Amino acid sequence: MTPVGLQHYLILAAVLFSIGLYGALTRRNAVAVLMSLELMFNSVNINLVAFSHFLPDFTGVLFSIFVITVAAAEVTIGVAIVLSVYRNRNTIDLEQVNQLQG
Amino acid sequence: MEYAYVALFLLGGLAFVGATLTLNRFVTSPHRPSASKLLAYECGEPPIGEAWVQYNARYYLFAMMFVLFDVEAAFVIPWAVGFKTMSLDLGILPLLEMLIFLSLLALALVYAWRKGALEWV
Amino acid sequence: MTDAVFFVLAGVIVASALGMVQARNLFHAGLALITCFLGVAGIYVLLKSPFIAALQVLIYAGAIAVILLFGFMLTHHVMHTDPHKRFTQQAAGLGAALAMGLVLVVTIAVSPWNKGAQAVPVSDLGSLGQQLLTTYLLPFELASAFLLAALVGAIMIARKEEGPPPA
Repeated sequence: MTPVGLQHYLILAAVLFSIGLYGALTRRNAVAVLMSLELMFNSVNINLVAFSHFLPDFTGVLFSIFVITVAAAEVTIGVAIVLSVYRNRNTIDLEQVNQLQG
Repeated sequence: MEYAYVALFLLGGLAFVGATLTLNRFVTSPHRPSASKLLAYECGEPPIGEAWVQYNARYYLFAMMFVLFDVEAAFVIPWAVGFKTMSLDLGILPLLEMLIFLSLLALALVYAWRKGALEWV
Repeated sequence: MTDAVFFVLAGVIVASALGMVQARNLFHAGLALITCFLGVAGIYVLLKSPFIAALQVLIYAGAIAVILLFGFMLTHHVMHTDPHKRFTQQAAGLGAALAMGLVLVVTIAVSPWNKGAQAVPVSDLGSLGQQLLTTYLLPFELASAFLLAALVGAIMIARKEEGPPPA
């Protein structure tokens, strides 16, 4: 077996991204969809840090700090929106929050 | 391999949990469940509802503030570590830049305070 | 040895991620998510980025997981399960995810990656901070403005609209 290199990390990230995508597409609970989005953020970060390690050039590491910042802000706002929807509709089942559907 | 310590701690923690749970089976009384023994409180008072209740939304504002200042730490730590070498090159500039950064975040704290997000009413 | 650690961590990450998307009980999904975050932190350690690993534990496994757990504790009776979507939607989601994964994995497998340069550890924390305050000064300051905006927005959205705010 070849030693673990860049490709192994990239494939791990790709698999994680696909799992996150599956979750985001199939979960009905809005919070579960946010969780799946976090999985996808994580896989992007693995990519950035892996490239940064193997190039080597630490711009990727710096960028991943910004990605983490954005992820934290995103989840804060996301859950706030979920709370707001819950207060107004009394459900966060995405099948039933469909008033904006054309 | 400086992370062998971390792995050691992980294994130690798992072993401790496993050992305690295993020991529990030998030390405590025999397990003969009955309906009244399986109640959450074995004192004759029937529990009302589940333990999983919905929490008050007020907690969320505190969790939010926690996240904000947790992320702030992510930026302050590398600044603090590199501050000495940076000051030699750039003088007072790193300090000013970090002050701008922190004052913007302090503004967030002030906003939350003024809006009453920190009050427990 | 390092390779074995990688495969163990990859197994933990993939298994817990699958557990997260499959778990009907949202609390279990949250616990699986935290396991996944910790596994990813291990990956960062393997990639010689201990600072990012620490951030992963602090921010993802700490703050973001807490926010998400709050999210459904505040909106959901936790022990109630999340119902399945309709079968067609499940199948469509699975198909899309599999197609995406297949494209990514094949692209990664056939692309000629530069395998030569093995990393010299360049990213000590101090020079990282220096880069942050020189080359990346604008994103750095914008990040704080961004966090400010996020907090203000979240407070505006999350607060109950009941009467004037306490003065």
